[in-house]
Amino acid sequence: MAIFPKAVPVRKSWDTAIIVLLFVVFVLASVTTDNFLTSLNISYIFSNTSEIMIIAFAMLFMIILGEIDLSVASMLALSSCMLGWSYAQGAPIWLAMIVCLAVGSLCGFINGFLVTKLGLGSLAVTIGTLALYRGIANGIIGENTVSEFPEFWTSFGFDTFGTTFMPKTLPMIIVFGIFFAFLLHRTPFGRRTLAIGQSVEAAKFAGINVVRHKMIVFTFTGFMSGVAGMVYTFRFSTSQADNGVGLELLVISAILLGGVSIFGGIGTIWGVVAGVLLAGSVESWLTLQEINAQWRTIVTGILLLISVAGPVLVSKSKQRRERKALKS
Amino acid sequence: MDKSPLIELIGVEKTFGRVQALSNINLKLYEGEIVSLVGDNGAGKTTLTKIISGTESADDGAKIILRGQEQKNWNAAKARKLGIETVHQNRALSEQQSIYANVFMGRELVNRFGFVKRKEQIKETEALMRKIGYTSKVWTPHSPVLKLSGGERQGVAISRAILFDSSLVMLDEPTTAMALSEQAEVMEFILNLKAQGRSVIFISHNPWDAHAVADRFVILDRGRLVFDGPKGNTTADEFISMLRDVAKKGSV
Repeated sequence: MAIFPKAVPVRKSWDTAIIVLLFVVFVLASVTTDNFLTSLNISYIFSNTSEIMIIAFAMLFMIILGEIDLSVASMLALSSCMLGWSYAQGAPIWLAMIVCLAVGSLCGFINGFLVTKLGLGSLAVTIGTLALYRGIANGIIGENTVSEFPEFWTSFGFDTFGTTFMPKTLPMIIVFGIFFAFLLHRTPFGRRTLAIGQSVEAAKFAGINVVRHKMIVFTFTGFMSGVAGMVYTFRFSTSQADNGVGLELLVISAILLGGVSIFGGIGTIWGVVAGVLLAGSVESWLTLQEINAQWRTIVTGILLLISVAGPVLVSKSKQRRERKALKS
Repeated sequence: MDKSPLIELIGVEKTFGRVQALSNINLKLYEGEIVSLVGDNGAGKTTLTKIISGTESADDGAKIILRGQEQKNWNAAKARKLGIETVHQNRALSEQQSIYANVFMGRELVNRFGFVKRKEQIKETEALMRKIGYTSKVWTPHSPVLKLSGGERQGVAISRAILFDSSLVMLDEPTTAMALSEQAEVMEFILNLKAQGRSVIFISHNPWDAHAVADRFVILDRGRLVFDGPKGNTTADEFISMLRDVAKKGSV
């Protein structure tokens, strides 16, 4: 085997570039900002990106499949509202948490049903459900907020372990990360996700049940949005209808930044982890530099553009080099 | 030849909106024979193979009988499990995935924990590549399919059928846009399938290819089966003249 040259797809070099870029941002931010490399700030970066990371693990599968779910932030809000509402109605916290996860899963299932069974485009469906789920959240909880939750759970959402930089949610995120990494890279389910994303027709000929596969991915994206809704609720000790507004863009930009192809079929968990941490680190750096929110939004937009254009430009330059080498 | 059919289609019809793509198709396929399925564009050849491979469902009332057993809820996974493999030009392989990922697509080898046995898949693919004559050291099981030539791609698709012990292999225009040497390679692969006792449905626009490998001809015209008979002593010229008749009169 060793004598054979191993094919290295261009995306792999993009994954590596993002990890290097993350390192560069860390070094630059540490040099230019006093408080960047402190355990408190690192803990903030992990905390602030926790919901993005949780949703991104599932959304990665969605984008690899060649689909998209723009309703994740609304599913987060609706799950959060159902958690707060059922707890306020007197349900024990464990039951409220189950309701939260069940609502997230149900929303994801509805998205999946509309896309796979009715054959509608995921972009159009999830733009619709983005508004619908947020609207239902508003209807349930209105202008009110629920902010009384058991201290054990709010400290889980906010605290760190002792004086370390590790937020209490971090082990859960690591477990999810390992689970999804194995699911994507080591199981038939993951291999089939990649196969469907690259060619639906080839996957169908290979006997893969594409409809069922997509239904599962839509449903667990809803479930993970529910988990993110739970973490968000406990982190801010607030259940309200506008929780997580705009989070879907941050999730998508972090995923694309992590080398996942918007056209489907290509992506890795480590790329996504690096993409989320890179976006979170840049955000933290800009905040510490006291750069205002508008500029931070502009930077997010630029990152999104780089993440889409970067791999394409790298690929084109590689092709150009190959053509040149062929001519010479 | 065993006279009990491997697969039998009874009353297969398929409509797409107002278009009748297939009309009352009755067809038997026997073990170890090569059937050349021919007809003009829009005759319904691909639709028929899609129905046999389970990627398209027939209209209500059709019967698919495999080894004497009528099949209910026929789908692609079931068809593949029961040994029906389809080889389509450019479509049955995922180009950006590696050769080994394509070979095992949908039928990954897993350990007792449900994880893919990657090394074993690579090893088996390597052995398979040697078996089908991939002597070039440029290609490895990791090579993406898009780097292979048309003939080599078909080799991968056909070898997949061999590896999983398929009893019926359907090849839809497997030699389209190929160089002559590559076409010869594919024809060799097809005869090899027959030598191993497998049945083959071969679809081609090229009447010489269709004639060369066939044991039996099945001709479709605008969704109808207009001829089904053994090759016997029919020469290539006679076969082409039959096709001309069908194109002109709709019958042989």
